[in-house]
Amino acid sequence: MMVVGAIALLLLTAAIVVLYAMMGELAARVPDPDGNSANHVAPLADFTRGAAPTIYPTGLASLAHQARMALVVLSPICTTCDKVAAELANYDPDEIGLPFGVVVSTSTRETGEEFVERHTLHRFPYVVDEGATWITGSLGVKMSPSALVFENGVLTEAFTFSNVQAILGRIVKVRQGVS
Amino acid sequence: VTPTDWALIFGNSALSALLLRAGAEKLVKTKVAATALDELFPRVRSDLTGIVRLAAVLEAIAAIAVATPELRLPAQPFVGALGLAFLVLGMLGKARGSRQPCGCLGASSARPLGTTNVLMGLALLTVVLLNIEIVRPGNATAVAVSTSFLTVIISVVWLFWTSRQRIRLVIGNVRKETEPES
Repeated sequence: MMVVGAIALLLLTAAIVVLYAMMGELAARVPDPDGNSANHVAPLADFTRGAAPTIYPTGLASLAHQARMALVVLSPICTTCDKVAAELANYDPDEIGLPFGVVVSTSTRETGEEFVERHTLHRFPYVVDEGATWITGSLGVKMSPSALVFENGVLTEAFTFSNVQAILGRIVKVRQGVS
Repeated sequence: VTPTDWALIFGNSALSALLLRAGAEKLVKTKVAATALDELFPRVRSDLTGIVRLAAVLEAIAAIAVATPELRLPAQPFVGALGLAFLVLGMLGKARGSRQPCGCLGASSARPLGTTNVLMGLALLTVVLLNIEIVRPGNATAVAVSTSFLTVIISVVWLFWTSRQRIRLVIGNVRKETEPES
């Protein structure tokens, strides 16, 4: 009888552990109102690893043949993207440490261009990806803000993030890990 | 309860708590581990989330089975297979320079497949050997009950430890709300 009771308790614990995992997954999708997740960088699960786009939009053509480069995907309708874009405005493209481009995923060109202008993103190579056709069709990325790392034209890593400094730190760290 | 019984209790409860957590996290966050496997086996074109889900269910079943007297020994081949899988995946990850987070304990596992998985696999195989060695414990009922209780304690402490920041936040909020106005 005691064994049955102990097993029942174990099953109850198993249920709690599963419930905890589910709560954690839900919590990860809710932004922290206090901004405590400012340095949050997590690997992106949904993207086409190994994708090597044959055609780059004109705005990103200068990045196509770089040995290593990064693209940041932003959307004008996401609050964190707005924050990230405002932070990017403080960065000099030549001081970032690696070739760096911006993809603005938007439903209409006007909204995208307005977003680029508001945050002076035209200082970086950029493209307004109407309907996210290029970013989703060629790279399987459906999330913003996200950062995509390419090596010799191949998409090798992708992250979600909420802070420019944190993502740059991560990309540099990954680069050091490789060498 | 003999000293060998205690070895069985500690070994199996640590194993059970680990497999329970790993199974639950992978069941909910399948994609991270599937992406790590995708990276390790680039020639496999099919979606690997099904395999990750199956491994998660096996881990959860093995976690319960090792604490049940009648299932403890029959479960050992499964636990051994899991240990061997961890060992091989860790070695492959290390050899091929895996960089994707392994997702072994869900999204919180930031480390890629490598040394940690090799050590984990070796730990699982050690516990399997311990179980095979001690076929008949001195007090089977006490071993089963103690293993279950210790698994519960380890699991709860582990959950609290990983949630410590949220717990602090909640306690802080409660304190703020109960502070008398001056």
